[in-house]
Amino acid sequence: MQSGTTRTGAGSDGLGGRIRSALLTFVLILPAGAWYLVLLVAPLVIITIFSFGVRAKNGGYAPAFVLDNYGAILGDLDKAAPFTTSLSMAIAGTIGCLLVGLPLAYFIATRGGSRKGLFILLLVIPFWTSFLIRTYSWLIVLGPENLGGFVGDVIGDDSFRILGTPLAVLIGLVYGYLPLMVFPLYVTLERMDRTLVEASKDLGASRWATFRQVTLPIALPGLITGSILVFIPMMGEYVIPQILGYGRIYLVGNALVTDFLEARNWPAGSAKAVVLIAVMMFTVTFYTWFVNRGRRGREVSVL
Amino acid sequence: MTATTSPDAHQASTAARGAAARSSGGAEPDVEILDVTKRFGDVVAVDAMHLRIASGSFYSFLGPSGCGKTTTLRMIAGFEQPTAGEILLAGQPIAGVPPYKRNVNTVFQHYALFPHMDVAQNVGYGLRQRKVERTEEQRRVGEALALVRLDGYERRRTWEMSGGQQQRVALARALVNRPTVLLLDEPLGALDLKLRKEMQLELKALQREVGITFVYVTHDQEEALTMSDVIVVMREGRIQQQGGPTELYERPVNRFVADFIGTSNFIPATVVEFDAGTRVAVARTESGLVLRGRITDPEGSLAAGDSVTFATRPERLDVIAAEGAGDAPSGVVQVAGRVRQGTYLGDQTEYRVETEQVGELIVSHQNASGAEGATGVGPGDRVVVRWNEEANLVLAG
Amino acid sequence: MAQRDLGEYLARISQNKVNRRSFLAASGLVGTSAFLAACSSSGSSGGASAAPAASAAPAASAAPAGDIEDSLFMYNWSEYINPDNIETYKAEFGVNTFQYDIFSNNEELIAKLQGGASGYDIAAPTAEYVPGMVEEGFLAKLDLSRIPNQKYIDPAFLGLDWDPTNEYQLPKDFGTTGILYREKLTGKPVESWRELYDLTLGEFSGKTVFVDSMGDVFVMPLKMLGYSLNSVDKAELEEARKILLDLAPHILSLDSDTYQVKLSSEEAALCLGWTGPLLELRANPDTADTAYSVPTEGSLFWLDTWVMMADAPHPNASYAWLDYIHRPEIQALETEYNGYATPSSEARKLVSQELLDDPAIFPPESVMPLLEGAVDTSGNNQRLDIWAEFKQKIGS
Repeated sequence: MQSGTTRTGAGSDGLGGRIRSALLTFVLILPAGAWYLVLLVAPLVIITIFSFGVRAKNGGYAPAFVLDNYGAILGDLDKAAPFTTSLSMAIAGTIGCLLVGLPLAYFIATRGGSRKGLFILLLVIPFWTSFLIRTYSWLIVLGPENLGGFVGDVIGDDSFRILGTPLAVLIGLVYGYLPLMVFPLYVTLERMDRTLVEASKDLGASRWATFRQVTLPIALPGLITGSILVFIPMMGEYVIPQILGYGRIYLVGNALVTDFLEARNWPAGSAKAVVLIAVMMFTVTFYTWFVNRGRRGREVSVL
Repeated sequence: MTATTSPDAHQASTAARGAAARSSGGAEPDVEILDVTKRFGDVVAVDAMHLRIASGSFYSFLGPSGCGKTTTLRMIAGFEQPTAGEILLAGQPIAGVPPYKRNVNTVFQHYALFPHMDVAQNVGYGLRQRKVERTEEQRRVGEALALVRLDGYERRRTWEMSGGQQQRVALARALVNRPTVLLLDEPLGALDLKLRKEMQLELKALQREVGITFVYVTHDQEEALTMSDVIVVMREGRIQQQGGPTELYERPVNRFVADFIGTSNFIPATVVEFDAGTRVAVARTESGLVLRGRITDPEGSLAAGDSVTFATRPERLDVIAAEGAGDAPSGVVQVAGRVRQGTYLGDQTEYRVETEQVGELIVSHQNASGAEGATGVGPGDRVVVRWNEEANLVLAG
Repeated sequence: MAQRDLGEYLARISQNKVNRRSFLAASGLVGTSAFLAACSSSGSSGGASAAPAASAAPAASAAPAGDIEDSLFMYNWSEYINPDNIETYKAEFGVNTFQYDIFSNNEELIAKLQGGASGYDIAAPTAEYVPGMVEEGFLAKLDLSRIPNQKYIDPAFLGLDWDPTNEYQLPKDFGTTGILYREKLTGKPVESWRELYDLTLGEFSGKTVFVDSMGDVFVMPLKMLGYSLNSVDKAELEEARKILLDLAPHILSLDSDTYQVKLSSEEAALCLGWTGPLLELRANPDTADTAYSVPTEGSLFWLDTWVMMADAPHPNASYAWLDYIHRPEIQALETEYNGYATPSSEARKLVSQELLDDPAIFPPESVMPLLEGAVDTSGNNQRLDIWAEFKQKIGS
């Protein structure tokens, strides 16, 4: 009897405890949850709703339910061109960031020694100044009076130029988003047990084989995170193609500016934004699946 | 444990170059370390080291951290290059040969198992580098896992396994490549005591079974004594003494070795006379006690007036209640004192006895008869400590 | 050619007045500096209460009805008001808090108004946006009797399509779209759209820049063809499309933000653009040959206007401002500061002759009849499609 009472007591106590702990969890999650809801979910819902609307007489959005905005994008191959251009530029930019960022992160993480902090700082410092100013600076570096002209001289082609070409945009993209690739890579490489590399060499793998079979797979979570971090903003990039691409590279970002600011057709712009998000989600999902295939049950995220 | 030492192992001094040359007619050495020095900046990690490691034996590098044992191992593996001197592997100089081309394998302190591979992939890693055929790889991985008693664990993820199991995977991963020499860098350090003891015996048995030369780095003297054929005691980059466990324990050549391997009581004294034939020294302590003993260093020589240290092992000392102890028989040293502390350790009881003549002595009494305090003494009691002169080890300096 | 260095370059970018119509510059560089400037000016105003000067002010303006509030909230383009004029206003009318917020395009202004009560008193939209804002009920009907100084406004700017009854806006500044060119490179004046077209397709292929602005770019083909620049006629726009697509592959850049840099580096010789950077280019000996023409076929004139919000929290201070800013001497200071033409005929008499004679600032009387104001055609899908097609074909 007594033990029964005790058990009941303990049971209700446990229930109260569970409620309290659930309440505490709720309270603790609330700020992040609210932030997520207000800043991420709500805008997404709003643009989705807008994308089915029509342009109000004086511009903006008027409620309606039409599919024209999507029809205009998907029904005409010409109008899908900004999407394919954006996609190829973002993919090229991500690969570029990888090609530059991986050796850089590897170098800092493994050879940085006591100067690791300094290297990271050097990488960050340019980003304390305005993105716009940094992009403008590339106008000078790549300009006909400097690198563009120099390369032109070297290859003996006076008409050679970098600015206004996809190459210029690519350079701008890689430069602009490099740290977002380097940091997650650096974190995984820095955390990596250095003796794994020694173990690999000890077991007969050359430097390259070691990199391919040990370092790279272990850096994969950082690589995935970094790729996604650079790929997503690149897909929506507007400023770099405008400045370094001379407006000759027409990306989704530029199309969105036209829709929202020139046509003042929010529904059309919203539909493009929704398609853009869909393209990004598909690409990122496919990419994560692709690089993870064959890897079993290992935690992926580093951030 | 019986030491199966090669003639090499019996050369007892850092300076025994001539002896080394003479003895190379025995088992073919797998590793020869010829006058190797390694400096990191101003720090000399390994100082003119000269060593031959006989084929098929179990060598341990023993010493405190910073003594150069791990650096030596890494030079053999190829992760470090000697500043001076030369290392031969199976008779071939290996300067400039990268680690992945050396037929040695290492078991790392924290195993260094590849987290993105399962057990079989880890073990087969070295075979894949050598382009061993897939079926052959599987067969040899299976064998190696059987060797370390991990059959059936092929598809396990390594981070799901216990420390001891990970240790075995690391061993299998190294052994599967059939290296000339297996290097082990304090591989048991992360295991708990009981598991460590088990693994020590297992490692020794494994080494016998595969017949591969093991070079084992440790700072744990007990570990070294348990497993090794030859222990190389190192300090500040120099070899202090090398030999079988018995030799090192019974005849340490200097105070460092006597102190590092086992426990010793040290009594400073001044030589009164030295017989170069019998190698027996008679010496007097500051308190006037006259001690007699044999010098351990076969190369050593003494003259009257030299400072020496007499070392004795605690288990060679007896403690007896002072009352009715009487005089010591001939050939037995006896000093009077008072028990300061007695610590019961189960198999033995350790007494710390404060003597007037030679300071504190540690006496270890085996509790062979089982009962606590068979000696009948406790803290505060007046006692005499006795030991046979044979137990005296005379160390120069 | 002068070697440019980064400092000079950035200074040029951040100082240029092209920001009046440039999305990028206004939202980024200039926006930041103007914002800082605005902060510091409003900061200094907070401390210096303007009482002493108030009594000394000339009693020129009619006494406003009701007490003037001590705050005024303005929403405007960056660096578009002479700070001295703001200080004088604050001192004279005892307005302690003068808030100057910046928008970088009309859309931003309208979006803010659509979001509900904006809290602003007055704003400066471009005229073609005014009818829509009236329709949405954003704007207050102005009581002109409380703005006696509006009498100085040139009648040419009254009764325009945007506000036929002159009830909702007062003209603020105006300018034109035209051709900027380096005479040294062209070797002759470029004075018509046709010439620009021929040169771009011929000798100066890849050396022409267009501003990245749909309304301004459409001016060229439509005026070349002799149509209204506001045309939404299907056939006319189709003709315009052909011209634009002819041009597209030969265009160096669509650029509203740094076209003056391309002109100064001689990367570009011709530019369909605005007058903003002209003064600066001409001031530099290396680029003193830069010229501007309003094409003979006619062009666009834009007009920025003063409007008052329907729910203005400080109507009396607003009226005081609108009357104050139209004083000829104050208008003249505005023109000297921002380099845009004033619609006040009385103020023009006070502006330096140099500015008056500059066709880039004050269009010559001869071209005035050829100028056409823009109406809001942003809802026309044909125009949008052409624009998107044109943009995608640039340089290809």
